[in-house]
Amino acid sequence: MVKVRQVQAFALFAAVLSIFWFIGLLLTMQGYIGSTMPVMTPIAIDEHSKEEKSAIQKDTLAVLALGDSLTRGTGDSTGKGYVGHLIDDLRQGSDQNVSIHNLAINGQRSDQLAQQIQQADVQRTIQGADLIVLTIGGNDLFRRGETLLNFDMNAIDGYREAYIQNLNFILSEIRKHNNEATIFYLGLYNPFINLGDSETTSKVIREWNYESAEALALYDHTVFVPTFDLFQLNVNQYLYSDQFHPNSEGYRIMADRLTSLLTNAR
Amino acid sequence: MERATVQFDKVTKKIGKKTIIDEISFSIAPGEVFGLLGPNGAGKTTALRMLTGLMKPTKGDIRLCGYSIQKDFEKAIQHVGAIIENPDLYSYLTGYQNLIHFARMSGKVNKERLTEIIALVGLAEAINDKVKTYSLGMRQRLGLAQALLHSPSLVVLDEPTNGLDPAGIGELRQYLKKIAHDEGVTVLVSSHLLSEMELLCDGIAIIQKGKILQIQKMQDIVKNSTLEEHFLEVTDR
Amino acid sequence: MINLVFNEITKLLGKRRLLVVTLIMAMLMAVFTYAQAKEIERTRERLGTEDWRTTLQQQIIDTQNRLGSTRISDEWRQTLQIRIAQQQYYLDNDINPAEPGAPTFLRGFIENSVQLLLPLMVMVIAADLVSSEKSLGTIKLLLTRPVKRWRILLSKYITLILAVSFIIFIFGLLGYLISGLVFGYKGWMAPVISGFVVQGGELDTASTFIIPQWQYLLMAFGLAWFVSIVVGTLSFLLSVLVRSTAAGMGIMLAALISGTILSNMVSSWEAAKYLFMVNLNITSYLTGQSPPIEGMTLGFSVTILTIWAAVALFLSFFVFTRQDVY
Ligand SMILES: Nc1ncnc2c1ncn2[C@@H]1O[C@H](COP(=O)(O)OP(=O)(O)O)[C@@H](O)[C@H]1O
Ligand SMILES: [Mg+2]
Repeated sequence: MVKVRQVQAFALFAAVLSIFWFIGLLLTMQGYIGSTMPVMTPIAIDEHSKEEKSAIQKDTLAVLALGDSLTRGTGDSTGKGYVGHLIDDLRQGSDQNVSIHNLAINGQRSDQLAQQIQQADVQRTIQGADLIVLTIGGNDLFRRGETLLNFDMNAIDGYREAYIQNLNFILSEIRKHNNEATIFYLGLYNPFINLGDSETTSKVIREWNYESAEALALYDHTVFVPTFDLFQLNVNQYLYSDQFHPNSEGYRIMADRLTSLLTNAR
Repeated sequence: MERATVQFDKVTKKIGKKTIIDEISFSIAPGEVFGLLGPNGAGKTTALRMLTGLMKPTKGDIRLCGYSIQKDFEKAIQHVGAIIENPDLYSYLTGYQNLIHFARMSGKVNKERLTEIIALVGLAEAINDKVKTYSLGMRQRLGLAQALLHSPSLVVLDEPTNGLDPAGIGELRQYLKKIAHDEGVTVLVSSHLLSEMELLCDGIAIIQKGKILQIQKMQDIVKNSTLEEHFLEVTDR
Repeated sequence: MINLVFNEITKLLGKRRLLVVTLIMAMLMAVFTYAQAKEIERTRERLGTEDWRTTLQQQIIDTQNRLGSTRISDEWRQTLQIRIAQQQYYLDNDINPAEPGAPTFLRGFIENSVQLLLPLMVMVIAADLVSSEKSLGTIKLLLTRPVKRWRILLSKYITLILAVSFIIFIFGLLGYLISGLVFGYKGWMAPVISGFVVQGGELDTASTFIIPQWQYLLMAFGLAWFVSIVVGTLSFLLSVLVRSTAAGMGIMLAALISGTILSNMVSSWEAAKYLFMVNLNITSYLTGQSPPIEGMTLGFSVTILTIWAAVALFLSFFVFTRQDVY
């Protein structure tokens, strides 16, 4: 039963609350419509304190993934991509804590990656990384399929030169911030190997990979990981329905290769 | 002559195009027990709704103790205690809470009066139970209690005997007669039951299809014939 | 008047609707706390770190990748872009947008409840304040007392405001207590960035400011209170107009739900911004999301809602003091 005193207490309490919420409303109206809020001065980013805060525990293996849709895992129905499979393998293989930072962006070209790694936060992440995996260049070469439609050797040579420059820049930037972490660069495969004119396309890709490997060799702790051979014989089995990205199986074999390299290294 | 407690002055009520009450006029003197008698759908409840200010007359005026219910609502209504149609109360509250609720709205009711009225309607034991556990008879009693709570000088009861057992009806009749004749309270009752009116009322108005057919003092009717004969005679015309 | 209000509160408490509302909210809080805890745990497992910067950066990249998809609508793309810009701004200023703790949970929860959940809870109370008296028949007893009708209605309206204030309080209290069990009770002082302006689909950070989370919460709750009062007033009007509580609730429910749908699809129907239900998601101005229709601002929404409430209140009194009671 509701007692008279309860009713009075409720009335009083709710009245106080009404005033309280009304003050909240006034505060908002003042802040927004009257603009009495002190405008924020962007804080100067204190690199030192940031570094300290971002220090990941020592017993953690920090993996950083950079690049394009391959690193993103596009086409993998499980959503993992070779990075996800790799992380699974690493976590299974040891008790060590593994952290993953996947900053790859679909459709990213080498010039865009060069810009991305100049962001303060990306640099900070690079600093903390123990292991870096990277795919880049596929979009520089294939240009969403355009390259194949209007096949022009001269244009491709131009793309490659620009790309190699960017790759050099990217690698040197990474090395500037972190000269310990091993960089695993995954080369290109030929998704069009079953189509006509595969001799020409394969040749272009081989050259591309060769120059990438050469560029990589200029930096310490870098590993060129070929994928061309993985997709050479049974390409349809390993491709996603877009006939370009790997499917789950394709990513699986890419990850297997990386895993075996890593377990050997450790 | 004393001022009439209730005064209907050519009151008409139309809802849409339908005329529910058609120019009715009558008055009730203080201390009188007056009956509105008519078949179902005659317009009794509508008349009482207008009397209590729940509906506005389309035309005409109603005065209670001299005050117009429309222009002087508070003064007119403060002397009225009413049950219109059913004794609808807050079923999720206790009987006591219901009474406090209405006491608060009437102002001048104190604790003693509450206790007195509860005893009077015989609900002392059940008053702290929720109303939803009450029988219809108990609800009628509680309805009566809220109507009488503020010692009104006019009590309006719409078909008050619905749901009461014969003993309850007898008790109610005795009580209404007592407050009318001893305390000068005016009582206005509506009913479709002739026998009831015969035993209770000092005067009646016979109403049918929104019109008053006849107003008479009970002794005049009873002199000539029984009320039933009279009623049939009037409504047959 | 105070006695009339006491009467109304007695009835309100007697009906136990507040209790029902409290229980519903408690259940939802528990569910959402659990869901959020799961989500956090999943992210942590996936990324292998608890560092918020890592998580935030990953979120940004993930969103950027969704932007890359050609299948998303322009509006959604814009929303995502603004979200990215905002997250980047938090990152650049080294402020964690989701400092773990009950206050942060509360912040997210009120932002998500202001459009539908809270209005619904308030509606449950408001929609039957008058209509239940009609359907029960008690209105005949209520209106045959020496009290003018407008005073009776006013006492009901005051009670509604008190009830709304109480519901908002219970919402905050429950949210804090329940989510705190999982997330901890700290975080009142955590900094929050507010004052983002979205203009022409771009995020403008020129007038941002940092406030402690408690202050942000007070502001958000003030706005939620305001929205609840407006929705309560509209339900109140329906309650005066219709006899059946269920019908009143049905109408209001339809309006509220259409509001959440409309908010997502009316950007090309300019006049929709004058509908009250499109303006309910009012805390979005604090967080700086793109408004449902270009050009809507906090001031605009508050004005529109105030007008709707004022008209509804006027109509309620106009009708109630005149209507015949059957
Ligand atoms: N709200 C309404 N709208 C239209 N007609 C009504 C309404 N209320 C009552 N009536 C009609 O008015 C007449 C009188 O009803 P009422 O006063 O309840 O009769 P009584 O109480 O004498 O049985 C009936 O014919 C009824 O159908
Ligand atoms: Mg009737």
